[in-house]
Amino acid sequence: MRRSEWIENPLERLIAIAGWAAMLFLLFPVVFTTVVSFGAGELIEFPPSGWSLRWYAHIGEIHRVGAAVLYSLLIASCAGVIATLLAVGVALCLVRLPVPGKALIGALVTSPVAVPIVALGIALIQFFIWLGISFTWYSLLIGHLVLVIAYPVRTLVASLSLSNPALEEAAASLGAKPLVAFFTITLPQMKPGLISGFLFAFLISFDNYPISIFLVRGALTVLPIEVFNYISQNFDPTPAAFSTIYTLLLALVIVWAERRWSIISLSVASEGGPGGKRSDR
Amino acid sequence: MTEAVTPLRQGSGTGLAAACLLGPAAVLLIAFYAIPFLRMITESLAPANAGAGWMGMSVEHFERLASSGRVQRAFTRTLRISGWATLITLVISFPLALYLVRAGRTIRTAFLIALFVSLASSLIVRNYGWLVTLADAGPVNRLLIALGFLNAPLRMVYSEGATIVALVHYAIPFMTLPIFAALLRIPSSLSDSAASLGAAPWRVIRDVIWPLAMPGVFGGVVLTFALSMSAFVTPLMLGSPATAMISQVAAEQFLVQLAFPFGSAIVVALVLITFLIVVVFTLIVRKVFRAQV
Amino acid sequence: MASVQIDDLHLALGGNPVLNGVSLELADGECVALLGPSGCGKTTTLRALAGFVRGDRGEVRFNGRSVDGLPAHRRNVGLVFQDYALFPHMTVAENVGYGLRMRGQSRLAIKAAVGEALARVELSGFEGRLPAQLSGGQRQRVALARAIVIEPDVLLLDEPLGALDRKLRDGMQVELKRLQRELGITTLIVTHDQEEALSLSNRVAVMFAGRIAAVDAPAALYRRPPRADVMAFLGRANFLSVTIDPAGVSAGVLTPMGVRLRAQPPEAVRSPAAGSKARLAIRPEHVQVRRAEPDAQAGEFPASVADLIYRGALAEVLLQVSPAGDGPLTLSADLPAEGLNVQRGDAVAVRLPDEHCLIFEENGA
Repeated sequence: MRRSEWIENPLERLIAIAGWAAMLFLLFPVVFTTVVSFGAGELIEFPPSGWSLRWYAHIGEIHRVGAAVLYSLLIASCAGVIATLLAVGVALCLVRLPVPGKALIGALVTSPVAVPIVALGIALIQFFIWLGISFTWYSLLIGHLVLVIAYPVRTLVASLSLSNPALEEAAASLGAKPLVAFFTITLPQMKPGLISGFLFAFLISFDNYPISIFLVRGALTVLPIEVFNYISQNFDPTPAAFSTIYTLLLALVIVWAERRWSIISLSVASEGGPGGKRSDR
Repeated sequence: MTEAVTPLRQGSGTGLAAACLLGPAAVLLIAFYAIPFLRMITESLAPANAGAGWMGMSVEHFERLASSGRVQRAFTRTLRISGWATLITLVISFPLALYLVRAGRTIRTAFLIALFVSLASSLIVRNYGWLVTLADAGPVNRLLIALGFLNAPLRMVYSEGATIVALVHYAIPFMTLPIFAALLRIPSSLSDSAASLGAAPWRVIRDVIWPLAMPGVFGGVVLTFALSMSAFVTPLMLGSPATAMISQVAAEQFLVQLAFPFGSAIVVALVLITFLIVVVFTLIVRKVFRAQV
Repeated sequence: MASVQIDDLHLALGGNPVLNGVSLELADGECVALLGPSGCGKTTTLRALAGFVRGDRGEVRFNGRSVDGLPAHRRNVGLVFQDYALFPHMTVAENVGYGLRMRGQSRLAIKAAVGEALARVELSGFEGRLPAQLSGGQRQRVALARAIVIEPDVLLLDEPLGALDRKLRDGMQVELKRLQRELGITTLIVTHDQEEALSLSNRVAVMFAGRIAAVDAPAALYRRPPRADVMAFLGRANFLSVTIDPAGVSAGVLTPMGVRLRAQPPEAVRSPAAGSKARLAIRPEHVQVRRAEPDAQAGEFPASVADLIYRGALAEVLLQVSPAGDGPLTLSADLPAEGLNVQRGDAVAVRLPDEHCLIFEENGA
């Protein structure tokens, strides 16, 4: 509606150009990497001299890639699920209960986002050594949990703030016990927050390097570390193939989640408060 | 975080309910976040050559910090890189957010999805993308040579510049989304009013939109700055040892030198400096822009 | 100060036709209300005058000169939105002075003009306040001051009283009228509230589906509306099916109740054909009701009181009439509440005075 109303002027055209330029800047590395991943040559070259799928097969040659993928999936899934579960409690408490010191608790839970991740890894490695805790995948999981719990908390608080508490009161007046009301009324409304919170927790854990690098030992390894090592030691486009698959899967998941649960639209709306007066007349 | 207090129930039950809901998370965070950090802070104040069971505090690690040329240079470099990255990201993101507000639904959704995918994407994948793009045999070099600006490929990767470019790329979603959200909250009648009073489009942006978008801009700037200051993976992949940022120096102290107290001191200093800059910046913005941030 | 001509304006938005040939003239200094239901295109018409949209066909002229090529910020219009649109980050003085700043006036001149404008809307001394510190009524007055201080050619008001509560609204109506008269600025008020339209304007233009259906002075439009839909939208009206006398309209019409009336079609509207079916319209305040006495007077017909709705000064009486043939008919009558001697269920005698009945075609407007 707005577009057709603006009488064309140079500033609008400039803004449109700037917007598209920014988006192209954002997308170009992805595009180039994808092109390079199909190259036939031994090194990274653009444009490729020939086309081949060999680098996709070569992903299997990354050192300990199998173990790394398994550990990464395991830890990310656990971190995602546990963080989201814990976050439900935190979000409910922060939004619905009049607890003193809420701001402090909220700040504590979400602060890992602002703190240098390296600091977290460093603090934990010292802590575990001091406590004599061995470095297995549980300790790594704990490190990831501390980092990622902030994300589902944020998305769930946003989701919950948007939902209407009067609905729960209506359910109560119709005879629903508090727990039943929670599962049938409150939880479904939190779905976008749950999905996007889990997604973010999973992805950030899956991709994490700065904490993992400090907490892995021996047979324990994760994908970011192995890929990073491969990049440092080899110059062929295998990581490009890996990137392409990763980004493609990620894009599909996000588009699907947006279609199904409107996670993007809702998270932008919640950040902006109860919608501005963008009246489309 | 919105603090919408909509009590589910009142009375004495709330204390217990709160404890159950918060308990597990609180235990996790206190045990494995608050305490380790406190320990790290005390570690940074430990006297050197202290065996197990040391007593007393000492600031010698911080003194060493201040006198170490290498650490100084790393801090200055980190501040410089963060400053540039934040500024460039703002310059790119603000027009992008403006465009998002005006764009039709299809374009807006597509762009938002792209921003989200970027946000959620693997950092290693993203940085690798820049290694490819800026490579000697990569598209940028090829283009510059084809256009005649260069005769031979320019070494762009493993430099401070490449680090800044990759940081900007990383930060764009973090800066654009809060600004976009803030812009959405501005009623369209305000810009219409300004226009009807005689304000040309650029003046509308300057007098009405920019001041009212300030809370979003502020949030984006602070976040981008904090992320840049603590950057680790990005400079690790796109920089060189000569362009190391503070997080890398700290990590090195731990993994290589095994100098835990000194490394802790570096990390503590980093957090303090970042915090201080953000506080000063907040005060300036409040005073100068009369904005509620 | 300018006269405004809207000439056969057509406009489609997003593929939907919104304006289908709007033509309207505003004389210099005149106040015209553009009245219509939601979606009729009145706001779009206002936006076309302001310069935010441009017609696909047709022209907008100020003082006879086309303004179609001028973007909003180059037209000299004063705009007041329903939500007032005060700049929240500027003081009252900065808000009101903004238009003058855009016109490059000196700081001193602006200060003086702002002071004068605020005095006109009775908000002297409020220069330093922020919009958040003002009440709804005060904000509206600041919005007005901001629009008039630039001495616009045209003043455009979009639902100016919509956001105010009852008491404030009545007060503001008086204020607005006074201001418009004093300043003599050509004004267009867009509203869906017919009371607002009738009370504030020199002329009312009723708009349906992107076209102007009728334009006239408020009283004339209320008493003799040219179309049935205009009559129905402006105030309340009773409609009943009648048959035209075989000798023509002037010979009278036959109501379903068996009563014969001498009703008139509004001027400049062609009469329905003799012997055909038509619609008779009469406003509730003209329907005469009295208790059914044994002696029936001429022109009366029987009815029963179905319901009584007390409205303070008036009472709305819902009458059930059972004419022969077709099903029951309901008529609405407004009677003074004071001295009302009928109750629900009572049998009454109803009379529809000739001079207040209007005849319209059976179908169409």
